[in-house]
Amino acid sequence: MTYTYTARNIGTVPMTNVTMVGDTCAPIVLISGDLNLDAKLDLNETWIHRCTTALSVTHTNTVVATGWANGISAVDIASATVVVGAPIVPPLIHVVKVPNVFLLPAPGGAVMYSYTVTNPGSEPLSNVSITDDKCTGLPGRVVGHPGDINKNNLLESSESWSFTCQTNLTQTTTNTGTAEGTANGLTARDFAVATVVVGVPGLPNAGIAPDADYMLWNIIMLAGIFSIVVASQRKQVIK
Amino acid sequence: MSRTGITSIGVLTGAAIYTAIFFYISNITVQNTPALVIETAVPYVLKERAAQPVRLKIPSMQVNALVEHVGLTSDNAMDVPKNRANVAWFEPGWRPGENGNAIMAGHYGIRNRKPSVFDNLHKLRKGDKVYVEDEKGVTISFVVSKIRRYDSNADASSVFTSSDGKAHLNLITCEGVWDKTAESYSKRLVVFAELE
Repeated sequence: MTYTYTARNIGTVPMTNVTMVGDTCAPIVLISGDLNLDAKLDLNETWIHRCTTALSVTHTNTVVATGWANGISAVDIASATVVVGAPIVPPLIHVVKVPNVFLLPAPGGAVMYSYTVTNPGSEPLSNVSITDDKCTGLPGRVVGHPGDINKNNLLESSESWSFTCQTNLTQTTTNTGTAEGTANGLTARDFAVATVVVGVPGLPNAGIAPDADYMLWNIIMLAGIFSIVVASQRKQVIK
Repeated sequence: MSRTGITSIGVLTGAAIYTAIFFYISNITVQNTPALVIETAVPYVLKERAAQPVRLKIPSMQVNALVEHVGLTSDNAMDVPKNRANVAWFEPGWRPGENGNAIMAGHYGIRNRKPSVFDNLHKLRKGDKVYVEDEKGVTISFVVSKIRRYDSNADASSVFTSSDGKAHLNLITCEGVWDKTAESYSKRLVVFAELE
């Protein structure tokens, strides 16, 4: 079984130190995409990675892609389920995560993360859980959620289950929320990453150094004007 | 016993019986109601994030600039746009239109006789309009509320954070005297704008 991973930079700044780490398949090899061979994932580039492994049972493979730009990391996580021996469509789950603040003055403070879990597939999901790697206030396995409209403990495509989790941050933190659900004997998993910056940034240095030629040109211009004025005054004195 | 005394005893007895019946019924109701097991799940309506900005327009300055996304430099300052004709939006922060301070920076200075996008930022006045076009094509309108000047290394808390729960757009550039050693101008000009 060969997995193909496609990485693109959807921001506006080239990314360095791009890494791809899979949980059950290694090595992940860069096949193509670094057009200018500068080891940066540029905006116009699409990097193709591949990894090959043997599968005998149905399996979900997860990969974490990390890149850096402007001192901040960008992370994305993707998973793919390969069903072995049965014509089953894997279940789907989606989680959105948003912090109530994106920037906390030093020394930091409380952050409330909000999560909304939905089912973009067609099969109702059972055993739905929500967790976060750096926030411990989430329920894990969800039972009796108010968003469970028909009270059957299944996340249906018409439902939206929301949660909050509060934690204290003392340094810039990127954390990952994970939602899981099961249908047809398969587990769907989705991840949502959020970064909160602790410490107010310095003001940007957006000044362009004065152009030496431009300054010289200005001096010449001023000198020229001064000369004309002096010359005209001398003329008047001579008359 | 007087009529008033009998009435008082009647009222007190009635109140006692009513209270006893109330607690009895409440107890039955609580015991027989199926309890929902919700440990830490809290109902919350997640607000959709605003769309990301793609263009900044300031008609009074003839500015119509593309928006670059930036983060922090290695010394923890907000980064600047790569292109002098563009502005930089601080991506880790709020998006224009969200309740918080969206921050944009633009260059100041002339090189090779070409100007920079915020050369005339100092000409903005209170009441001037600033527009942000987002990736969905929606234009968000802001109005300038105040203009402040800071030292280059000043505490920028009031620029990056606010507590009034309103949507702000703050524009930053340089001004003052060029320090050749520090490769920086001495001041920072900040134009504060509020959602119209």
